[in-house]
Amino acid sequence: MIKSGTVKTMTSDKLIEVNGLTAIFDEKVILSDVSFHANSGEITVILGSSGSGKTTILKHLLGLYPSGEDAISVLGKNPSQLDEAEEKQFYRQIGVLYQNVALLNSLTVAENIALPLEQHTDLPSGFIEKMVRLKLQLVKLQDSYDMYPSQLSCGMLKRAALARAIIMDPPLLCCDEPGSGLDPVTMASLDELIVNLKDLLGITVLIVTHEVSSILRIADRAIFLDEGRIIFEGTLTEALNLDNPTVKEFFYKGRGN
Amino acid sequence: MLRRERTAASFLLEDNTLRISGKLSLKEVNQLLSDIGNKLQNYTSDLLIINLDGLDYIDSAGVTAIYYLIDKYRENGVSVDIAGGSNSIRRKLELFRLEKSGLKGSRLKTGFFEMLGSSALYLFNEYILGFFQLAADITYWSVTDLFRKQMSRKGEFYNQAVQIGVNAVLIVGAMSFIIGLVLALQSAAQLRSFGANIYIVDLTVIAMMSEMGPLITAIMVAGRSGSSIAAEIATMKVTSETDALRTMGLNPIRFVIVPKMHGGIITLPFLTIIADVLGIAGGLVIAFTYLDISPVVFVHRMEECLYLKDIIFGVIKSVVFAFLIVITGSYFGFRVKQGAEDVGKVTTNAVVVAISLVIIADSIMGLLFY
Repeated sequence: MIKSGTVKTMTSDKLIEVNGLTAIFDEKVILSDVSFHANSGEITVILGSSGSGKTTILKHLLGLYPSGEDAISVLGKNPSQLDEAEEKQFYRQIGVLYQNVALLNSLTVAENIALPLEQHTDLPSGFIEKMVRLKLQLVKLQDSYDMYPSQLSCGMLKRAALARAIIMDPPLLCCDEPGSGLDPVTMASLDELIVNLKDLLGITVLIVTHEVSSILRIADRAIFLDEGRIIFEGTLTEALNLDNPTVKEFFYKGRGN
Repeated sequence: MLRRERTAASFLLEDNTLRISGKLSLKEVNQLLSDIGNKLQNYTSDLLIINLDGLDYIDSAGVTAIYYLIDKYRENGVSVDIAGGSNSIRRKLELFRLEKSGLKGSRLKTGFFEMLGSSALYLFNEYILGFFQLAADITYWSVTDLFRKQMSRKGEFYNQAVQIGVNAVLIVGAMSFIIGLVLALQSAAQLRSFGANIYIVDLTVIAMMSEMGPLITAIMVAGRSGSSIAAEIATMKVTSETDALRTMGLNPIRFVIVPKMHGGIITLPFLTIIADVLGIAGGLVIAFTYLDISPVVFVHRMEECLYLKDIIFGVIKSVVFAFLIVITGSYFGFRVKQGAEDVGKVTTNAVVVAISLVIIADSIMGLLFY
């Protein structure tokens, strides 16, 4: 364990570790004894049908829900037990793409994306503008620099939100349903971008999704969730060859068969 | 490779070559840029080679910093080249290269007169024309819906009449009573000083009937219902409810606004009369306690100074005010563009503009009916 206020990026190969996480809301068990890990520099996909508890896991990992002392370790820390300084440091190292986008409607796309840079660094404004334009170019939204979120389509909003998530070059990128609302071509190019970021910057990516085509393209490891329990954890190849009816059906139907 | 400890970025200037080494990420960029800026302040050569051989890690901020340097020195007439760098660094330089087209602002520069003209046109089209168009629409539907099957839910008119009118009785009544009281109180001392005590009745009655009653009522209703109309319509628009109504074949103006208009126009005159009566009652209390004018004398004097004309003008005013409040609320509600913050803004604007219009209309009608 690191004792000082700084969060060390690479404490082990396991950037995320979850041990026996249980979540109960209104006497309803959402997650029961969930344990898994995500290796650094890999794309880990949490998959499962709707209501299986995928988003709840993500919220625990981001410290939005409290968790027990040793249940969760993200970047070497338990995200729900950080003091103020640690919290700031912790969230600088995580980029999050939310399912419902969560861009601030009163700011332009560029202002939204520049927000973390402006708040956390002292970079000159010309430099920040270049960074913002670069990230917009990466998600193919160059022309939306001055637009407001309300002027963008669903897919464009998703891409703008991804640009905001990667503006700080975070070592950990978490995406909640990145593919929903996107056309197949845009989805493929986003997947390509995520793989590129992983390969070139060595970032770790955690994706919560049920888009099979996307999973097949990018996942290194897969964690399969069913009714709050993990029924499989391992590489994508292992998952595809697994003899479990739920997993089989998921991949089979997801491919459009 | 990832866990290898990397030293922070450093640089070295040898003749024409700027060697950057170590790790260049978001954390180091700012310091490095300012250090290089200081070092190269008096750089005179027209060639600069940025050598990246010693660099073992770079992220997108680092790449942006390299291009930032290149652009900066190219602007000063220095020709800049990049040399060296591992394969991975080269790939990142390629992936994170900002295309030139992306650098251009999407807005074209406009001349002063063009800007002035287009703002004037925008102002006229958006505000004045838009307001009158909506006002005409609402008036048309409000009148025609009186004579045919209405397009609102059953009981909606009744609901609106209760919300705009009945629920405001207490607050409007209380405010008028207090204002009548204060008005009489302030005048009492002056009137007493030259023995004109009885004129407190004329003063209170005329002021309340022709000015204060309708005005206080309209301002209270603009604050209560003008804001709620604007917020309701704005929220409906933000959440696409108005679109949903339209695609169900329901005109949002007829469905949402017309019942409010009817409710407002019917109830505001009654509210105004309640305000008049309670305001005069406030004056009566002061007349009795401070100037020793008994209620009987007060009412007797009131019969002499109160004309039917004043009452009717007060009622006409209140109808006009109701019309203005509903139209302003609706207009600003429909003007909403995006998100929660905008709903707040248009609501505030609706109240401010509604109250201003009420006061302007009051002074115009005051001149006409004088």
